[in-house]
Amino acid sequence: MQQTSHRFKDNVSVALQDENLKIGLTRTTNLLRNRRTEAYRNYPNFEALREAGKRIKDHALDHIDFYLQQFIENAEAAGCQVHVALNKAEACAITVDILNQHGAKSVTRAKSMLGEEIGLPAALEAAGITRVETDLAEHINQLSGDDPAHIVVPALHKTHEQVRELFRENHANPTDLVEIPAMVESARIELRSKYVAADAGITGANFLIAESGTVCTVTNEGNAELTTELPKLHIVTAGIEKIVANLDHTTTLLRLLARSALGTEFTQYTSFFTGPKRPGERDGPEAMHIVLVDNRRSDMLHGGMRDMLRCIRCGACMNHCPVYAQVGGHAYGFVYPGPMGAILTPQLSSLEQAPDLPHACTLNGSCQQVCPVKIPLTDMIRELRVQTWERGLVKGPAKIALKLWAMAAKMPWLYRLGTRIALPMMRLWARGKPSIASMPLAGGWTAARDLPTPPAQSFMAQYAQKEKGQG
Amino acid sequence: MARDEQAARTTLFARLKQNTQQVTPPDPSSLLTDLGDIRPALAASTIIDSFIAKATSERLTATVEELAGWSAIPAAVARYQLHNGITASPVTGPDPRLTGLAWGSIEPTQTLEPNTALAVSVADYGIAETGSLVFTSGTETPSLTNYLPLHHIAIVERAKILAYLDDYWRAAGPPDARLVGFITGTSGTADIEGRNVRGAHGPRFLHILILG
Repeated sequence: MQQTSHRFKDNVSVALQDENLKIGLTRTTNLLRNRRTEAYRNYPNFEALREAGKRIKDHALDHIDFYLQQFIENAEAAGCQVHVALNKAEACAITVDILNQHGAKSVTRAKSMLGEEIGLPAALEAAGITRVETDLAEHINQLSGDDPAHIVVPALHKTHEQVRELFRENHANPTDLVEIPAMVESARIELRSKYVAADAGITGANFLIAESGTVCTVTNEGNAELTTELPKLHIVTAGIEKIVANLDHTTTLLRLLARSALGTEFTQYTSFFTGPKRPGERDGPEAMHIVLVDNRRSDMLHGGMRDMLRCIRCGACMNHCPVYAQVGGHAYGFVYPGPMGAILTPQLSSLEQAPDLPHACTLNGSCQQVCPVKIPLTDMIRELRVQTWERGLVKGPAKIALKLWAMAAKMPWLYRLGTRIALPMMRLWARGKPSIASMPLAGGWTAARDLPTPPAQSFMAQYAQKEKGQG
Repeated sequence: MARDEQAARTTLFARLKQNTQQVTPPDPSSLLTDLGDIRPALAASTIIDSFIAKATSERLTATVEELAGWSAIPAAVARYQLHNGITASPVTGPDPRLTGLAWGSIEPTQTLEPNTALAVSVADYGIAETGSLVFTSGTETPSLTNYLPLHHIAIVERAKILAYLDDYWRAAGPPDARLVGFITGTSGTADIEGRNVRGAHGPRFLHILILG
């Protein structure tokens, strides 16, 4: 997809004025947060499970070359063709090339954020290959021409009223579309014939299992299986960080994934694919290709952002992010929104292309608390802020304000002098009222909220007085 | 497109080289010595009750029927058809465990269509932890039987219901079949406003027959 992270502030202005977005965001994120809390309340030893998840992913990353090699050998032994793509362009070129070699003109696709990351939809279009998104949310997004707004529920920005209109206009034989189940039924009918007609199916991978060369996918809809089992060709596009040592490790991560994403214990369809159709089998693809994509992940392995490679793409961090809850996914300007996106997007592109993302954070730490593999998201966001400062990406009034602040913070006498002057001035301005409705030099802040009237003395002055009284 | 796969791999693996690591990683099983502690509690005191509780939960929406044995299957399928108003023949696929049964007037077929109403298949295992069924693809057990129909009747032997997900890999070993599919309840989606709706693309109805 087209990256617009550098226009974050403009994107936010648009998002905040979108009434439907607000409704969609509130309806979905509240629900997902509550469900997740419920799922973990019933879990006896959730902290130990998270620790295990972290341990497992760290182990795989510590030995990623060993396990990737093992995965490639085992997948090839099972009859897969494995391709290594160093960057986005290569990944798309390889995929289109495989499709052309098989004469494939139409593909069904099961939701894959990696596919969005590498720009596969555009590459397929450029190659004249018809793409049918089969995940319900991605189907909605394809009809409306939207990019995903969330990594697990990519159409959460759409209200059911909007979906009704979309389906009424676009489905060949729509149902009555009165209630949400009728909309789901309408999509089922619409997509069924397309599954059967497709020349190829493209999926992502939730896990690449080294010990057996197996690709694991999860869905709740069952669309991945109709995508892989009906066409003659199955192509998997997956990031190299999806590697896991063995099946037990995968099972442990699966326990974390569904609970963190949707607050359910397990995904309805959890499938382990090892190679193409065997002799005498009726269903399944005749050829299975796996495209392993680096796209700067190997750089992350060696730098301070390595922990981010543990991410299992559950979306819990964005469901718990107060900024995401206000601005939604599109404002972030790339596939990965919310806290994980604030870290990942600058790594996959550059900090220069996404300088505002690390600053769009309250540092309240919720994301870090809910992350199933204990990624220190808040710490990493803080580190990226330091980098934006060091690289001169903080500009304008913010830069001047921060410089002044830094100067004062380094000289306690100056800081105290400042508060000694500011407090009485603010109290004077408040004219005895408990809050200040508008404040010179802070117009942006007071435009949408009030400033509390400060106490007569600063905290430090009160503290000193109290100490003296006790002594 | 001329592409040198070997060169790409050489470049990738050079990028992945890390200074601190050993050539062969430690045994991965050493990372999960606390498996007993980190698994969830079962829903009931016995494996079978836990399985049924999960499978029939509000979330999974499957229905369960306990049968004496294989020979009771045709009558159970007939009852299900009558109850749900399904007149079309059930699809069994070529599985001899099913085709060999005395079906009487039902006449199951082996041809799966995109809008098949009802299919019947045999699961290798059940999992009490999650209420899942495990199917493996093969010449006699084509995969789509489990994913394409609107109604799915799944058969599992009582003795094949395991306590935990991990137990499946102990019992069956690493994937021998091309597709090992864990199916946990009916197809569902939460993609419109987070609302749970059944029957997205896979079966909307799952009826489990426990044998023995």
